[in-house]
Amino acid sequence: MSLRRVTPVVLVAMVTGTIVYADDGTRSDVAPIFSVSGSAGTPVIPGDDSSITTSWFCGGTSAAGDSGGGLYSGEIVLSNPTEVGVRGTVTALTTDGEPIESPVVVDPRGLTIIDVRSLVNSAYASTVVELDSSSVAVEQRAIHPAGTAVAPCANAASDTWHFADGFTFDGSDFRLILTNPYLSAAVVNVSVATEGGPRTPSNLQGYVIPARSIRVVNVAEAGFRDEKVLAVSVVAESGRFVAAKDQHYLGGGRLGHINALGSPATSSQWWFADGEKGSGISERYSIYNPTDEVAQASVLILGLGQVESMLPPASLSVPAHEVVTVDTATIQGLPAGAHAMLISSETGSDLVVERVITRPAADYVATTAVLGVMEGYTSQRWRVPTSTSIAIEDALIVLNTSGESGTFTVYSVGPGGEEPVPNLTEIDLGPNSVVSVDLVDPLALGRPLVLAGDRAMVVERRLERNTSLRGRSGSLAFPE
Amino acid sequence: MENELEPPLSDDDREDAVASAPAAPGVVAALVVHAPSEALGECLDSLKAQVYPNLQTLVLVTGSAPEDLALVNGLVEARSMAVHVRHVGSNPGFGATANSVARLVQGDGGLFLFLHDDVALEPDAVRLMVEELYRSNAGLVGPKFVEWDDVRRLQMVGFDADRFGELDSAVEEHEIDQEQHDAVRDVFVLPSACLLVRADLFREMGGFEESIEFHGEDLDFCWRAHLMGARVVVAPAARVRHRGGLRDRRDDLSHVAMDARHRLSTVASLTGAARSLVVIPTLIVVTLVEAIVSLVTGHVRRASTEVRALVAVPRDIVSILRRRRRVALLRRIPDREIADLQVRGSVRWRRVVRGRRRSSGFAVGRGASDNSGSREPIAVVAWFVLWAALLVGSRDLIGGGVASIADMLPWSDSPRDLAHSYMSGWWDKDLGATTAQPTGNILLALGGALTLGHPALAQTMVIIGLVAAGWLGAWRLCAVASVPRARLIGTIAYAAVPLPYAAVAAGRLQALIAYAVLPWALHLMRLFGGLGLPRGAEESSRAVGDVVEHPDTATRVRVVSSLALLLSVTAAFAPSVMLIVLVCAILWILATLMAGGSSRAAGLGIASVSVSMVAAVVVNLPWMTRYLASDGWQAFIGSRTGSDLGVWQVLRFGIGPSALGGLIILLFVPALVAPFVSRGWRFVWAVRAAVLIAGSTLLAVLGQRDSFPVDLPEPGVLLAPAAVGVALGVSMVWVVFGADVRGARFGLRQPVALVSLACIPVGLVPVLAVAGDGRWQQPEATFSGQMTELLATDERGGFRVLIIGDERLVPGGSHELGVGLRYSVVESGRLGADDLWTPTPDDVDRYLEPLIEAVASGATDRVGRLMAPLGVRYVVIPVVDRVVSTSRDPLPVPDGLVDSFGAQLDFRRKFSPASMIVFENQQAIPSVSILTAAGSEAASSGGNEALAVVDMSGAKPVSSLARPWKSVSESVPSGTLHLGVPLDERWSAVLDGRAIDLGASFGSVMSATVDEPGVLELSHHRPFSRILWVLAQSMLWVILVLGWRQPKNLRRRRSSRTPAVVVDDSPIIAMETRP
Repeated sequence: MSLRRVTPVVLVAMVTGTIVYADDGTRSDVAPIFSVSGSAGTPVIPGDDSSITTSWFCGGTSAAGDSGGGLYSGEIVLSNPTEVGVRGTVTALTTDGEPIESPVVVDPRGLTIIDVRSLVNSAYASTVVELDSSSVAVEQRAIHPAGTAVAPCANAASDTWHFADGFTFDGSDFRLILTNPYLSAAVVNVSVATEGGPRTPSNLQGYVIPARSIRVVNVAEAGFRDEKVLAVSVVAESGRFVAAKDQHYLGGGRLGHINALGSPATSSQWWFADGEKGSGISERYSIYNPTDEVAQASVLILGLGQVESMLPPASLSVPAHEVVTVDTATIQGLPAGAHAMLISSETGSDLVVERVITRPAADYVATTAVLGVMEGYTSQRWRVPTSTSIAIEDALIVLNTSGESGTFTVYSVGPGGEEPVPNLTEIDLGPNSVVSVDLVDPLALGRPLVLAGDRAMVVERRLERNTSLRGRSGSLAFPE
Repeated sequence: MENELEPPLSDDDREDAVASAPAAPGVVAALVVHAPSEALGECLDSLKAQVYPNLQTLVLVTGSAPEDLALVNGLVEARSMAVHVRHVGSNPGFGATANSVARLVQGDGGLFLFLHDDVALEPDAVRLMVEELYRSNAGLVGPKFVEWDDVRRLQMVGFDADRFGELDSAVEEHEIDQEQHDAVRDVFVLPSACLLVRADLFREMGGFEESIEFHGEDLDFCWRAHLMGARVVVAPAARVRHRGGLRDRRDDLSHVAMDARHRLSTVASLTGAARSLVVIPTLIVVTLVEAIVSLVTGHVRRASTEVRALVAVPRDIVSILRRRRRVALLRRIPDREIADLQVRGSVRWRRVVRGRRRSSGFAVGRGASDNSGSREPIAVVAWFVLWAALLVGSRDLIGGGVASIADMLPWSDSPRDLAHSYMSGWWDKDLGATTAQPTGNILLALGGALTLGHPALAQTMVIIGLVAAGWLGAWRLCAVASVPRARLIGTIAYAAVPLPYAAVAAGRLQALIAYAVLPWALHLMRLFGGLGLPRGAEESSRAVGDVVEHPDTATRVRVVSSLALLLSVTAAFAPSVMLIVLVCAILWILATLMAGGSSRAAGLGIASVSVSMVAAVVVNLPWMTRYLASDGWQAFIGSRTGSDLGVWQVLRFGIGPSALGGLIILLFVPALVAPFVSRGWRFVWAVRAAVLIAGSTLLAVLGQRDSFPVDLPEPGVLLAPAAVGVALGVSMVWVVFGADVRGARFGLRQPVALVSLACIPVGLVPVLAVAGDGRWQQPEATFSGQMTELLATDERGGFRVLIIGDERLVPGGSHELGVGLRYSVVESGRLGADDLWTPTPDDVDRYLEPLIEAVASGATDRVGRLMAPLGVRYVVIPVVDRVVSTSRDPLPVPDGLVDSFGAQLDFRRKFSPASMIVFENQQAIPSVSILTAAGSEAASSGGNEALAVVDMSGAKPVSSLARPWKSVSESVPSGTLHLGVPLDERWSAVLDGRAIDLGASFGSVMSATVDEPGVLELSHHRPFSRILWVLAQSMLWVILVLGWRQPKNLRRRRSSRTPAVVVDDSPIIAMETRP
């Protein structure tokens, strides 16, 4: 065979070899990525300079006004720490009627409070706040005869919301406020976990939340009366929405009122700063697994100083669609006093954890429930738009989530900007330790606060319930 | 090679022969000379050598070139011949020139011998013919013609003719002369190349028909001789060599067309009145059938010629009637007797049955002609089967139209609007701009106009026509196989490749264009390079190398013009195909170098491609500058179809649903086997085929694996050369089997070649299976069709639709957004073929893309308000296109896309088919509208932050989107006029005859203050440079077309305009009988 005849043969053979070599036999049917979904989670102040508009979705409150038992209303608190005024729109959504839009201006370093009832007159109302700045913090105060509840508004709507703790025992009132701020109707399915196991009430399947309106679901009336353990998941078939709970405890060891958003996602870590064990105090963690697989949860108590090393993390199994409750009173070796808690999952991002703590308040008790801080939301800087107008102790509970000691300072945001609050500067914060902050200095009262430290922290608030009620109402501050 | 007749006699012998001859009538040899060639010398020599004692020679030199006359005189003087030379001056044609003999020669007692200037007579040829004339009492006598270069081979021995004037020769092509035709016999026609006629008869007949310049004068002349009762006899003992090749010498003439036209007019003129009633209608039917046969066998030009000749008959009616009147005076024999002299039935049909080429008085030049085998019965049948398969396979497309999928988008309903848009310079694609427009738009307009405003019909014809064009191109290219059946089998193999059907099914227009264009491009490249077709002994030659016959310059100009025109149209619609043509040229030269082919021919081939590409770029300017933009390369290579083809799918051309099974890869076997078993020129072609396949497949695989340094065109385009390689390879194996394998010493070649041949029929099976579907598995319901139905009915003023999603699903031209993501902007939700292209993304980059990115990053949930000034009313996310993504196996929607747009507070999810997700922007502002008060304020304040907090809804539409070629004139209330196109100073607004300022608005578009109600008129001023360029561009296209088609006609006109030189008509020769 001549060289001339061999050359093309060799060439073709080489090409064939290359082709075969190049074939990895895989198909690339992987979806391209348009956006990495902003992980729905703990409400946070984005502070994103590139944002054009920022929207806040508040959970909704009763807006019935004066009723037999007192005032049922809500307020929206907007805190602008920047030196530039902020413009925006507040839209109130109700169960019926058209949405009401109202312009809003937040002055530089200012605090704007909007009475929901000044916008609408309805049994319940939710608000959407749209601003041209991402630096403003927006939260909602739900005014109720059983106590005012403060809760951050959500950064985004979601197609999934979970509530780890609900309570209908002894006639307690547990309502879900489902808000659809969009122009398309949302269709949701509600599933409930009780002590008896998971249930999917047929009347709450394919439940429609019309466009730009809200729906309120009375969970007890939906077939879940006298439940001490009640976790709820609301999942959209189509659309996105915001879900909050309006819980009025009337017995069963719990009293008081809370109003808070659900969790828009599961997480593998849940941080809590404000735990307490003591006489007359009931502290329970509802660990809810809304997934289809069994979750393995690990419970680690923090903030005990030298003792913590003696309490190894406890591990427990959480069946799918069920709730497991951890009562700190039953934890042997846990000393009385303050502590923090980290509940994490060993099986992935599959848990929702809520802490319910009932403390004595004069001759009765006050119950408050707080969702923990999800993984990735601990921060060195926290904002407290709503603090206290009166001097109170233990108003802020700060957990150092890192294993190294650090310090933090409390600033008051006034017309001159951020000013350190006397005696609240460079506060030591030991590794994984908890510090409670008393707000007694006039500079700290009635003003938005900022906590800035050099370690990742979790900050909870213990605010007064109202001027006539004893006890505190817990809520998270805003990580920045 | 023997190329001489009997050796010329010595002067003494000749004188002896003359002296011993009986009384000889005078013979005047009338030699008509045009553009003297070297054959003329031999012709004169042969005349000088004649033993006939009473022969005078009259040379009639046509043409106006004085050097021709000088050359002839020189030749005559060099031979010391007593020859009369007359310069006719012009070139009125052979018949008219020859007729001057009647004036220049006195006396009726002799004979005229009419000669072409490329015949050489044996020394006794004249004598033998004269003797036979007297012996047979004939009026006309002709000799036996043999080939110029090989006197053993017969050329012509007179012709029979049927009643339609079609000539039939008893001589087969290249038939060896074994005296089998040496009997004297009556024939119907004698060639005018050498024709002896009685002078008195000639004068009485009025000579040749002067309206016949070339081709057919002999039929007319002989037919009239028959009418007068003269015998027309061939005397085979008289032998002449004939070079022929008028087609090569007079390439300015449309030989086939002239032949057909003159034949029909002769039949119409000479057939008796009664018989005409039957003959003429039959002739029409036969001609139409012939045209259809030519058409289906790929000879479009021939079919056109047939039809044109038929159409010309009514046009020549005056001339025909005049001829009939003259003939009526001559007619002495009843027409039925003439009919008896003619062949019964149809010569054409007999020719088809016998598988022979058309007889003609002209030898077929070797050159690059590729008509071999076109009329073989098996070829005709095969072509009929192919056409039937195409029509049956496309029956639903023909009946219901082509589905609008991927790049096969419906043609505009209004070609006029397309043309207006092109001329205006304003292109409303994307956000609209005064910018370069694709040349394809004007070509689409022309296509739509050609179907009289039936764009869907035009589109269907083009889509199906592209498949057929590919077949015809393969037919032309496979002519290199020289064996008709090999050519045919190569064409069938090309038709069996599933690439075009998969391309139709998947809407891959570029792949379909590549399939259609590539064989033509390679064919033209071959012609330009001078790669000829092996003939005769060359067919079985085992010497490695190409058969080269470089064409003349005029042919090269025509070929390169054809290629340039082909690439120009291709570049207008599928620029990436141009790239593949270049790649093929490179592979071609590589294969040539490896296989020992003609590197010069290959070099010329690649040069022709290069020149043609440059021409294609120039005639597509300024649109071609679009590909210099930042995203130019992506726009150039076209939309991607996704990296999901493995080697197996590449090998089976699996680019779409109609990819069939894997049997098709059996066709690679013969193509890859061919280099191993072939010899001679076949080896070179076999290597070319193999290298085309290997290179093409390699590129397709690398392109799919993203293993190439740059993005490559879609696999369908890359695989087109492989399809051509398969066709060539299959052809070659067929030839090789006959030339190199069969009858050779037994070895590995035989079984290998046999196996590869056996693969061919198996590989052809799958295509038949898919033809049954009727639409090549194209889906009936399509994404773009449904989108049009859903959105295009919105009559709330002009609006735009943003289509965004997986790059494999976004139809038409689009802009890249990120890895695997693309978007496009479509006006009014109506996708059209003009959406194949996207302009330079300047405006969308500046105004729209940041908003899309804001949605992706979550920077706003009021993007509806931000997009409102741009008129974006709908956002459509394609989910199922029923080709790449089906309801059973949908592609995943890009992560976060639905969520991100679902999170927008201005968007309402619209109820839509499962093929798409549609969001409606409730804030959209109609493209031309009067803004609300809030909108007016926002328009002037600018800035996204300000815009995002303003409710933009409620603007009142004024009209649909403004058209630059239609002045929008409408009553408007006072307020702020919004014009949703980027700021462009060529737009102007006039209110009640008063110009109002159109200024920037919303930081992106335009607005004007209408201070009081009135009649508003919006108009766009066309830039003058646009007019100039359109004119220049039109001229460039015309030049290309002229280069392809017209030089022949131009030369003809030029020659016809040449004023005839006035010559002296007085007699110069007196004929007498020598005792």
